[in-house]
Amino acid sequence: MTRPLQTTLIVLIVTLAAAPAVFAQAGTVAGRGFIIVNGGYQVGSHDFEQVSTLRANVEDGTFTTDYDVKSGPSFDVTGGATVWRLLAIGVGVTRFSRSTPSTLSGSVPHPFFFKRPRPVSGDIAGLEREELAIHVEAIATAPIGRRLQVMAFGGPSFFRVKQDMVTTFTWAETYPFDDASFGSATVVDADGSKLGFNVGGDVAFFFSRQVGVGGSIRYSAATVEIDVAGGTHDVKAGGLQAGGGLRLRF
Amino acid sequence: MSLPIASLRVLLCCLLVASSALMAQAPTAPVGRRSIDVYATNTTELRTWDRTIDQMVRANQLLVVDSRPDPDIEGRRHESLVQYYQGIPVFGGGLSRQAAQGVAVSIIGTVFEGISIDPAPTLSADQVVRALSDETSGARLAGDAPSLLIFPTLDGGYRLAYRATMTDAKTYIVDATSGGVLWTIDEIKTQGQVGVGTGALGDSKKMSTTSAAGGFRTQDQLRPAPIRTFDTRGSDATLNRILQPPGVAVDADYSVDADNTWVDPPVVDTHVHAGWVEDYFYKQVGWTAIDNRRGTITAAVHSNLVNNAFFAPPPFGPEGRGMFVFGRTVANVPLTTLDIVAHEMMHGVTHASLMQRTGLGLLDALFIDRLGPTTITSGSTSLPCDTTVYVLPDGRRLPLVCQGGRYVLVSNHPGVIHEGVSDIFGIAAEFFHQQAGAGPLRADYKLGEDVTDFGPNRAADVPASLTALPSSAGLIAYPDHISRAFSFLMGVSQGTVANPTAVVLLPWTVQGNQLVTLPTTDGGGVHVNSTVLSHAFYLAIEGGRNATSGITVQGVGAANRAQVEKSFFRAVNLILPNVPSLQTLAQATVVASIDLYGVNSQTTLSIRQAMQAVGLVN
Repeated sequence: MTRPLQTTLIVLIVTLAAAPAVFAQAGTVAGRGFIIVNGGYQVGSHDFEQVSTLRANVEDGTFTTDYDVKSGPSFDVTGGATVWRLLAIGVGVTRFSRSTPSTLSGSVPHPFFFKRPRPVSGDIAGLEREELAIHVEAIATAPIGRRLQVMAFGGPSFFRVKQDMVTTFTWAETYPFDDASFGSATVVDADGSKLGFNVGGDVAFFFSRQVGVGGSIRYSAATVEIDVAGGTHDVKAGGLQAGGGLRLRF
Repeated sequence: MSLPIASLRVLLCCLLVASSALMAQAPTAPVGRRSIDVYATNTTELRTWDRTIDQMVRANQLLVVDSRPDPDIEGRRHESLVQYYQGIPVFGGGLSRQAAQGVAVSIIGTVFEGISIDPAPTLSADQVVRALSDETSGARLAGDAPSLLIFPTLDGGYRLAYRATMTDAKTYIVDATSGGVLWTIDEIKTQGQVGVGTGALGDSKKMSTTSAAGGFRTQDQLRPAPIRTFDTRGSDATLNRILQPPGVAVDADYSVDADNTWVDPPVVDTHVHAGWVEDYFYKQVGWTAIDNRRGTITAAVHSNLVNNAFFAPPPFGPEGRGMFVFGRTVANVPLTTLDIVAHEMMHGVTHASLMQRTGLGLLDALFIDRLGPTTITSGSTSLPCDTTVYVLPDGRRLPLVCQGGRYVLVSNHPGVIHEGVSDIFGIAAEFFHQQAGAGPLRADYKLGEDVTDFGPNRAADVPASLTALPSSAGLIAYPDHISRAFSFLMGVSQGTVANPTAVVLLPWTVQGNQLVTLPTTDGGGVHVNSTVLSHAFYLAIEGGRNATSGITVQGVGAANRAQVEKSFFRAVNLILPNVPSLQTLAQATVVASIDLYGVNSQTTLSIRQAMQAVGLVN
């Protein structure tokens, strides 16, 4: 069992054990469903580095691509239903998408001489990252009065990360080829999947019996392995998401 | 016409051939004739020569054949002028004038005076070609039709002559009246005494090749001037087809390899080193390849050439562009080390730059070095110049050339310059690409040292450490000073002692009053005397004391070697006239350094000291 999943289960056990005591008076009916729709913001940095080899002029060169993965907007939908008293089971989907400006630095072998690499560097724009996470959550709900509702949730998350990644690049050079300059990157859509975890909470205010608004905080995480250009690269996914939006209950 | 005389020196222009060839030479008695060698650098001389040049240009006696901006100095221009007489160029007559903002700053060259000759030839060009073909066992005309020129002779006179290059790789100067051969120029510039290294040294290096059917071939298309290395596979017929005008090369002449992993050392070293030398010229002295016009560089390996390598200028080689041929030692070690490839390529550069500036290359010519005694001895035998004869293998007896009863000793200064600067840039290319040090694949001042069991052939740092030639007086070392340079006696091969019509260089020299016999004339000492120049190059960089003159030179230091290299290159590339003496080259190099670095710069001081140390500058 992986450590994140262990953490998830511990959080769940604590949450579920506490729920009956805290929310005993809520009188939630089993089978009642709910939907949470959030527009949010994923904070935190998941910058990562890709080190690759470059075969050129009968010699190996290397280059490193630094991907700048910063905070960005996310979208989240969660649906669930109470299964026993204050306990609900839910399934949520989170999508996080943003551009990942990157920089490349490396060395290109000389066409005429061994061991005389030429440094190159350049910025790469237009690379995109998309994270799609499916969260399976145990949810403890706690109605506070008729309009306010609090939730705590946690569970495993299945992450799928699509990342534009650099496989090689072109460079400009002219005789006598002692210098080279970065031209453009060759990019592929790479992806990978991995099981992680999520924990979080939600506060909702209902205007009516069925419709309300609310805010959520969720922390989810996984380290996804992405295979590209013959190499495997670890990419962190998830993060702390905060958002708010529509709340529906049936 | 009366001309200002910057310096007077006896100049003997005549044909140089290997002694074994014994070609007919320039006619008539070497009583000495006066040409004017010009080294004008001070204001008075410059103004005088400026006026003279302008007068001669207006009189169509000098023609500006090239004018180009200085590649290194803003506002400078270089004019190359060729001397003409009634519309016909004068062999060896020409000046190089440098101007800064339109004002002359140096004028160097040679002008002949007293020309009076009928410019109408008796013989046609076709008649001359047919006669040459008969004399050369069927050689054909190579390149352009024969052209007329005025040829200065030994007796101070001038002959109207044709200049024709034949397929035997020789250019002939033929009397346009009598049809006699006045002079022959061997167009093959050889690296005769230098062996070349090989990939057998185990060094791994990159090859610039071209994908072709069945694999890859030795065609470098990455560099400004493409390089192609042909493999003659030991076939003389193949080499001749490629070399002889009109040189024809086919795809099958390339060396090929299926997987682009080359294991044939002569091919690898030739192809790679040619590229490295092109790189050196481009980066260090701003010259692109051989002709500075991106002309294709062609080299051939696996010929049957033994202990030699050579450059054949246009019109030889494919498309008439010239080519390089690299041989091997008797032990089958290829003569393709970096310094030797660079040496041959510098021959090409020297030829191309002189051709572009003046329409002619660096022309071989004999200069009188000194007059010997009237009588010399061989053992106990006394040999007066007037009565001594040289007996040829066929029994012919050649009287010796005398002047006032004294032996005349000559050498081929332009040929020495050709070889000397090639050695210099062979060394320079090594230092550019290799780490300094001793042993294989290290840069030093030796030539051909990386050729297993063959080199070094010459040593610019300590010339006398190597034997130049064996002789009847024992082994003779390479000279480190002009006073130790080889000079040769001449025999009268046609005509009489009083009125020789042709002379031949003899493998004889004089030490004191002793006759010394040599195994070769070396084309007038072109290789054996080249160390005078290369030693000056060494001293200018590294400094030190010349063992003969005792003069100590303060060198610029290894870190500044590029400045010395650029000065030598500039002298050859922009200043040198067609028929220069060694002293002219020395002056031109000093002038080049002044141009680039200033009169009081350490570079100029070091070069001047070095030239003084070897006896070329007072």
